[in-house]
Amino acid sequence: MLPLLTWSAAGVAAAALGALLAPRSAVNRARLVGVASAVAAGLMLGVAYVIAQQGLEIATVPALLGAGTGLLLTHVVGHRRSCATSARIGSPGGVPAGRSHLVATHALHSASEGVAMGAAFAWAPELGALTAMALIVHNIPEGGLLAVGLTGAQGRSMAAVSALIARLPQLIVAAAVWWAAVSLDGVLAAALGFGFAALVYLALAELLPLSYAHRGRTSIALMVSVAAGVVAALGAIG
Amino acid sequence: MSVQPVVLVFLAALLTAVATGLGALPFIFLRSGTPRVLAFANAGAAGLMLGASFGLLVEGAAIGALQTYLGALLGVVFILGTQRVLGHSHPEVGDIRGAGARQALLIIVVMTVHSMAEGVAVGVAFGGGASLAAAITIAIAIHNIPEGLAISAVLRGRGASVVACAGWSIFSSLPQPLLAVPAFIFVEQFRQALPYGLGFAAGAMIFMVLVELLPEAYEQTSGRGIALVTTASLVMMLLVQQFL
Repeated sequence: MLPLLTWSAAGVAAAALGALLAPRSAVNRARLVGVASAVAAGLMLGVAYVIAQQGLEIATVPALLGAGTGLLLTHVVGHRRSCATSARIGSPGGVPAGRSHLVATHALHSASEGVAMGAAFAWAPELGALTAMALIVHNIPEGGLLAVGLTGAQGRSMAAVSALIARLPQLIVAAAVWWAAVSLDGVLAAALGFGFAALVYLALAELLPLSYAHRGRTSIALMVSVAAGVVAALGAIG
Repeated sequence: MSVQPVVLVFLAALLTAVATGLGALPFIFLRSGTPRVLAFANAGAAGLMLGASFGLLVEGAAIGALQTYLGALLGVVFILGTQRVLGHSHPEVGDIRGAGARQALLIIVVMTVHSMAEGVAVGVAFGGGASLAAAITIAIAIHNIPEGLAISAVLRGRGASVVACAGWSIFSSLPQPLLAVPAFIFVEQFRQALPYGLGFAAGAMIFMVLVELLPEAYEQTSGRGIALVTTASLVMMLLVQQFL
């Protein structure tokens, strides 16, 4: 449990750090988002493949049910979060969203990532650590994006506190899923399936399009390939 | 080495090449494909290719992780080099009709060079065992259908017949049977080369998915739709790998 809590806390802290240190210049912010999202996407795709393999090997049907649920929930939460973020930063057509709404959608989003972390740690600490690394890299620009959505109403230190609050469900859910997966029969495979779908969907629906929008497709492909290759190779021997 | 496995490898790779021609079939009814259909076809192919590539990496890493990873980097460098060479080339216009014939020819050349890596993947996969070979052959055959669809969409829009669309599509995948056999013989003779070969094919395929298929898909429709289709097809490939 201690490694899980340590890695999860590092993930939460990374979001707050991202909110505190988000570059003020839009160009630098876009560069950071492009690179960090590409590396996180690569790590997530590699980790997700290994997680899914283990889940299907333990119990195919629960793993598939978990994957279906994870895909559906992440899709719905992702849609609501994107609406809240664009409304908050004033995109045309957006309905004005409150600060608490934006933080709440980010919190729901981080909860689904917590499932992946808890399940991965329950299967093997090495796989859990790889998942945590992917989420830490992802959380830094996420904290920055949340800060951009909030700084119109408050300062950076308050944005960092909001980023901490929004990421806290990742830690709580990771711990709860880990406990359920090691204590209750049949939960591990479903949680691994859910975690796989949440990570792949996040990488494909949010991180890769963000990266392509901010950087050239060749450099992004290179970064993602390298990161995914490392993780898949490490996962296979871990 | 007996002749029979070599023939089997050739036939499997020929099957994947012929599957490319199936991409021309919708154009019996349609004058040209809609961008959204092509985007979702690319997304489906991307999921299958990613699953197949990660499968190759895992298989290779079980033999030698470092060798597999070096092979993957070589695969990425191969595709990057190919793109650079093609970027500076000036292909001659053949007998394809229409104003955009040169562009059509370029896409065929690009697809043909891409398919070299897939041919190597089929050959190397046969060196890794029957179930790996079956999974990779199925993945590449299915992946080839939207590739044929892409080629046919370009050619049909420029006045080519459906038969010509199918013919050019199959032509673009002919490197697959031609390269699968030497790749298979190589890894059979030099077993220590297997992790490098598995990594090479995986690296080349992952890079192709990320530099070609997914960016093109994102340009045509929403990221969420692409993510749903790609994740679902990745799950399908994982199931194929699980049960083969």
